[in-house]
Amino acid sequence: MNMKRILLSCLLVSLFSCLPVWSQTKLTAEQQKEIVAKVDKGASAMTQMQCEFSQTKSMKLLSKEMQSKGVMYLKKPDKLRWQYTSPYDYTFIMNGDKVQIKSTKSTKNIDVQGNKMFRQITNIILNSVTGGTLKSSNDFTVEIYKADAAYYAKLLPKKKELKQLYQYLEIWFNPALTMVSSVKMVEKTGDVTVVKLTNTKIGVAVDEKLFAIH
Amino acid sequence: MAQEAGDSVVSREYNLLMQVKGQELTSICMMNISPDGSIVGTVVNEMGMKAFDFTYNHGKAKVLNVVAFLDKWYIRRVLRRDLAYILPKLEPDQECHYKRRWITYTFTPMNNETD
Repeated sequence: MNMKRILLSCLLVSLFSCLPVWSQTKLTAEQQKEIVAKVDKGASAMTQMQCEFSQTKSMKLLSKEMQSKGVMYLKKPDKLRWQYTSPYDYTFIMNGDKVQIKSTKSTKNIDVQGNKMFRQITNIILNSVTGGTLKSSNDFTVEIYKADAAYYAKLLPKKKELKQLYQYLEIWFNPALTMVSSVKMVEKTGDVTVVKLTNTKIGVAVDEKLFAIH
Repeated sequence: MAQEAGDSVVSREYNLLMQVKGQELTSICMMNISPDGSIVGTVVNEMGMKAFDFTYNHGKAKVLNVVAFLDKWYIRRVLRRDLAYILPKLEPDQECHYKRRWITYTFTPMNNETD
């Protein structure tokens, strides 16, 4: 019996040692500064963009995933259209201090200035897709990691309101650090949402009408 | 979207509209129903942010993990009572309206959405 256990242990150890190890390294303060500067350079150069996105939310209580997808349009400094097309229609439009939320059943206009919580959330969305969050150190403590060829920023909330929502956020960049490739949000409850940006087009003319709020 | 099976867990998804004093709140409500009738579920907004989780067992509902800005004892109490009333009555494949004292709830199955 003991021999069997030893053999089983050896087998497990050798099996796991054969698995590829996903290496990630936390960058030093100096390296981090360099990466933030590169991301910021890319973000500053980008004035408008559009992309498709897929969103997967893993729900701890239900042990299941909810998947949705859509399109996103951005025009700096403060215009964003985040539109879900499947499995439901839902559009979030931000235009300056105004936000419009449209679903099949209702349309709601919100003045972001009058709603601190909403202002923080819209800032997170906007800055996450551009990478701008790395510089705004008021909301998060930023740690940058290198994982194989890619870099990602781990954002740890500083403020009470954000701590109540998120454990942390991860913003993943393409290897050239020119654009955000995905955003992972880990909620306080353990639910995880991953948004992947694909087919990203930077610099294409985005129609102003897409941000119109009526 | 929904999975129906004889003696296994049944999964259902609804678009949920809550109307409170002229304000409207849309969300997605997902739940797993066990063969014994107990339910675990979650309500998230369309962008993926959780509003609250809930459980239902033997006629009683519990509300868990309520998002901070809704996490008040009186809100939890209203939701708990309303869910205990609504959950056993929900239909899997048709839109259901429930007018309670403070909130009107509309559950629309996600594979059977109507405007």
